[in-house]
Amino acid sequence: MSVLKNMLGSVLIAGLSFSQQASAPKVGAEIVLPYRTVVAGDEFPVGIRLTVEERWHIYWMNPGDTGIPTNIKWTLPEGWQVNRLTYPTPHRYDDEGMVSYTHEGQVDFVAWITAPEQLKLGGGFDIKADVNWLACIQSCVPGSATVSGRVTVGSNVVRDPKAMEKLDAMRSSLPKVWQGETVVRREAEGDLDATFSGVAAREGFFFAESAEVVEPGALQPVATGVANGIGLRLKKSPYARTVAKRLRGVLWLKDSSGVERSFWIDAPIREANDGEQKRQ
Amino acid sequence: MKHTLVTTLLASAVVFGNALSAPTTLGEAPVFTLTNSNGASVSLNQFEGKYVVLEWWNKDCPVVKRHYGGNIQGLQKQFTKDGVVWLSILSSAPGKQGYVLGDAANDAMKSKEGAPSHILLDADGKVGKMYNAKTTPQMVLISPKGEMLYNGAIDNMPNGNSETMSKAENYLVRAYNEAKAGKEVTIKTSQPYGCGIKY
Repeated sequence: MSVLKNMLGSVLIAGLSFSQQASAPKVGAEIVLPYRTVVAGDEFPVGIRLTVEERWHIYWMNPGDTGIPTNIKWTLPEGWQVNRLTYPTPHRYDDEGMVSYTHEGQVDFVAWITAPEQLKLGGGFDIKADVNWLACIQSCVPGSATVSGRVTVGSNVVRDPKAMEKLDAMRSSLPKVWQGETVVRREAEGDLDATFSGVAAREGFFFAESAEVVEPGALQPVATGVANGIGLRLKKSPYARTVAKRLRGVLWLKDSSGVERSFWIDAPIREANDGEQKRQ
Repeated sequence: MKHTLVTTLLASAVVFGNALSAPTTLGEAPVFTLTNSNGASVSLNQFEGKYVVLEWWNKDCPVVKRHYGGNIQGLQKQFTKDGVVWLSILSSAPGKQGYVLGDAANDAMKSKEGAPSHILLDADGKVGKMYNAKTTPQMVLISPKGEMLYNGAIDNMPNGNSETMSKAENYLVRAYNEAKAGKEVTIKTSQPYGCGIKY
């Protein structure tokens, strides 16, 4: 009975709420709170896991050529705030030349939340998230779920070991912080030459955070002669409204033994003629 | 044909960065002729002298349904009343979602009280691909001179819903109002959102 109650409390099978759509996929949603007790002023992680029915996909923050970004709206007590939300590394879903950036199966998001400095010890606080997505295969069905949990505030953190283990696993699917070197140059046509070195790679793809910087569906030709890294030619987006100053997004790499890695990149874009002007 | 359009879009986007040579439009709108839902031939050329809206439509796409909660019908009425030609284009391939024949297309549009000037059948996706249409909905605005003024999303709220829709900035309306006032359209493209077109 208590197991059933727990399941009902933490997992909503959101697909079922779209009864008018016979073909709605099952999408489970769960909140993972690795800390039962947090300390005022501290930052702590909260996970959200969506489990998407096999064969269906949902979309990354930049959905690419088609789709709608998966959106998480938080409802937090006054003064609490979400500092950052990390999406897992997307996949490239190519449907006859239209390329979308998607998530399949188990999709793990991790947010970092800060509790305010001034809080009474022992108080309980509710953390709620409304998740919205568009799930597609041949057709698309929107879905939503609300998940919530409670943390208390104390003088020491109290972990929930099982939830902590789960959250650690969730974090492992997130892009890592890039420690290598990045050089991004804008060529005359507006395309970007991006060189990432410091991690062995044979294949690579760059998922730009914004569709206004890199054309989502364009091929990304690999430059030759980059040792211990990869060079990618990123096509200027047809949706560009301003001249982008930074390249942000997820770099996906695969090395010669098939190991895949992904990194969050945030690098300045240099103009190709910068160097020439300095020489004059 | 598709490559020509992509090149045109890119070329204009590249020059866009330079204020001195900023283009006023996305270039000439590709001409086409399609059969409408009543079996008549409709060509873009016949609307010279009028603004033309192209709306990519799929009656079963939930994002289209969201905008057919009243938003698109309202625009159709407002635009056509103003003398604009509104063409709802159906680029779903036979057997795929949203593909319907003329009568069924008319019935589906009528059931939503939609009021486009024509529903055009593009089952081989030729016109959709010419315009680089990726999603339903996707909107294009063409000037009375046949220049493409806007091509992209209907508004700036991919995650919108019926409650937030009134707060969204509608890019089609914005482009039309600017063009009608004799100004250059300031947002000419945007990333379209919605269901992938079922080519």
